[in-house]
Amino acid sequence: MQKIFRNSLITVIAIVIMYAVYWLYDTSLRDVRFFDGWVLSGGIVFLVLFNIRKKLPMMPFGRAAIWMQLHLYVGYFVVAVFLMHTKMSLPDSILEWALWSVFILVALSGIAGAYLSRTTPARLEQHSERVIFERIPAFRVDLAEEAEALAIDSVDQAGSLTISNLYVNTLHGFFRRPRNFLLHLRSSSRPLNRIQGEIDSLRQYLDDAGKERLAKIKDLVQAKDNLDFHYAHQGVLKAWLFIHVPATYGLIVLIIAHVAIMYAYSSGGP
Amino acid sequence: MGQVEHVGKPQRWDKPFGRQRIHGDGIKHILSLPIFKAIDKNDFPGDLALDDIIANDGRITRYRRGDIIVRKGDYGNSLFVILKGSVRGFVTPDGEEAVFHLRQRKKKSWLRSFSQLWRNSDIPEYLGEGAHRWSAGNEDGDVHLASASSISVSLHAADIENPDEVIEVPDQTASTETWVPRIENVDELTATCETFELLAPNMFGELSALARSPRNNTVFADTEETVLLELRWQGLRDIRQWSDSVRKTIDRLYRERGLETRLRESALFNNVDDAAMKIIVENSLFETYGNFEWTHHFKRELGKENDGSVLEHEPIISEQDHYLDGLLLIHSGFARVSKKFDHGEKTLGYLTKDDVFGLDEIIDSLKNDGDRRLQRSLRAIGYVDVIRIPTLIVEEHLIPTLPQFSQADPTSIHEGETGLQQSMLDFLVDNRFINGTKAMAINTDRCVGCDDCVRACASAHDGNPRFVRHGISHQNLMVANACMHCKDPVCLIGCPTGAIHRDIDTGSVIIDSVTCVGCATCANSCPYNNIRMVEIRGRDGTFLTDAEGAQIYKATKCDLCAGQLGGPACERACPHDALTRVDIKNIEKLSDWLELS
Repeated sequence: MQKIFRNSLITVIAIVIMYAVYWLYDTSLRDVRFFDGWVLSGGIVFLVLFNIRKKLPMMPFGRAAIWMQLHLYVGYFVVAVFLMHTKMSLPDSILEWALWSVFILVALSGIAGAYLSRTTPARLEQHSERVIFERIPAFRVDLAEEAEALAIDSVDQAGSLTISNLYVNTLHGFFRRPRNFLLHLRSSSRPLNRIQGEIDSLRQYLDDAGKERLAKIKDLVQAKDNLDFHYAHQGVLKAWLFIHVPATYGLIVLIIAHVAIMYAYSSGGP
Repeated sequence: MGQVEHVGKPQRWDKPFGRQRIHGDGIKHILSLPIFKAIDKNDFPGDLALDDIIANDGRITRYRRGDIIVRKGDYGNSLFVILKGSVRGFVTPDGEEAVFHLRQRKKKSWLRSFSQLWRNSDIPEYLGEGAHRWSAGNEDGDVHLASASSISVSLHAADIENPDEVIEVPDQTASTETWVPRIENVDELTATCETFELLAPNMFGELSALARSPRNNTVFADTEETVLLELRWQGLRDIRQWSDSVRKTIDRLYRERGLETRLRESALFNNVDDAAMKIIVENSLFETYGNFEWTHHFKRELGKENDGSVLEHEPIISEQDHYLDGLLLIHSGFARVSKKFDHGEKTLGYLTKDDVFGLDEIIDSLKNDGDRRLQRSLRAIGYVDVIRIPTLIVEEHLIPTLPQFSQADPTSIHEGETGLQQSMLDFLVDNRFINGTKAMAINTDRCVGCDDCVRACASAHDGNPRFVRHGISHQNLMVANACMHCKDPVCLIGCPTGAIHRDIDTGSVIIDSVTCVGCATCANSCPYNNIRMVEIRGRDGTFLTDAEGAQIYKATKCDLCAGQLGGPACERACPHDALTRVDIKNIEKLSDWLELS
């Protein structure tokens, strides 16, 4: 917490200083947009450097954890400078609208990513054993095969159709692919409760061996639900970067175009 | 189904150490050697006859001049007696450096590091053309390993000797092969590096074999016809156990060759003068506890629920409430300190090399004039060697030299004051992660599973990650399947070529892929399953095979990014500070990092 407080304080001080310089520039009747525009561009270039650092792990460019902290707090600073640069008003041309929108997208996805990175690991920890994302499909297939084997076994061994019907009507679809993505993101246990309730209601029709099979199926359902939970949360943890990083590249292109146009149509500088 | 094939129960000596057993006259010759001649065969139990031990646990090997017999730093598991010829060892490290220059890794330059971006092969486990040198044999069938200087080393098939010629046994024709590195230019080497010589019938290697400590010197054959008896540690331990004369000889050699130096390594003896040290050395006892091959049992038990039965498998060294019969200095391995608690035992901490046990009690008994009972128990975790110094000797010659008579037991830092929760301490000790000096700890409260660590590892290792981002967890700590660069690296034991070794500069456990013959001894020995055997591929991606069509394997594991700039890439690549390489002994750092306190 001390680190967060310290870093936040430094960021706030930097923003205040930046605003003071901005105000002085503005009151001296100079064109402040070139000043804060270049600060903004420099800040964005610095933020992009983090991605380059990640692409060069073999180089001694310092720890990524430090880069990440810098990325985060410089990011907040850049948002503040962006508000100064736009004077808190909406754009008035197509290019500026594009630039403004992409910047907002990058900033919001970044803030969302920071929030998810802070909160999701603990949530995953609280929800059964951590599973490697790439292994989830293989685990899901294993669970489906086990459930199917139990259903077949109940017909072959006991001649009972209760479990096999449950499998065909409900469980086959449940095990086939990830389920209840959004509900898991809300940490809802409703879908699990529904299936488990359905399973419990069948106990009365089964003999002891059947009840044992049903109990095993219930465990498999629980395990599959855990996998779905991890799939949903880890999936979102990975997905936000697919918005943040490509949008950043788009932003760079738009910034270059914006700067070129600004200089082309300006009176020659600040 | 239903048919059962009855086979004999596997016995200890189904497979002798050598290609075949040493026979009657050979045994007679060996038992006439100075070290063995005073042994009384009647001291041995009926099912463990001395002749059988020599026959099965001994082998005779012929070396040519320059053959390296043992290497400094390697973990030895046998004693050598020179039957014919002489051997030489290096006195100073420059000899080892000259011979094993192939092991010294230079840091990559910035340009070379950067070029890994495009130079890494797309083919997994492709070592590059230069790395396939093991396949280039010479006319004698030798395999050249390195020739960066005029002193070069090659690998060749050694004769596991027919003992006939040496000890005149007419009907034995043993012959097999083992790979032995050879120094090609012995004269040049001995001219430039200080060496010592041992002649027949001297012996060497007894301390490493008994204590499983690294070899102190590199020893090589100095005569073209050098013949050695090699006795593996199992046999040596039995002979030492049942024969007073051998025990006395080995203990004497240990005292002469290493005990004082060993004790001086411990800060506890800093103020002991030479005369007192001599008395301490004369009265010290060398003891071993536990199972030398603990790794196999441990692997079977790994991951099982701990219901307190872990302690049952740990032999007791000193028991609570028993008589305080000495100060124990841990020579190697690990020991658990515990105290009776309700119906079980509570782990207070653990001891490792150079830690002592019993000092608190001795000081306490001196102060309070009396109660000489141990307040805690000490158990061997796996396998442990201890040096026991009798209580009276400690009181007379050690305690007065301590700066403060009332000073606390130096081990107390590990006992009850670790700052860790009991369950976390149990987790680290029960799973023997305490062995790790660079364990990969992952804070699961922070890890987002981005795999930046895995990608960084791959980029530093030609596209092949050298760890698995998964492992045993407790609370928010996961110890991932990455080499921990153990304090007591049992993976080094038995490597036939010394490919797996400790880096001279950093102490990291490294595999030299050129020297590795893919025997998987290290992978099987690693208690934590952190070494993987991989199939090597050629330039076009096809698997490499030997002349008989068998695939070429190599052992791979984390090398802490040896040779890379900036240290372990995995740790540096983690953007969330969720991964660190940590010495588990540094409890405070671990605890802070996990935010447990």
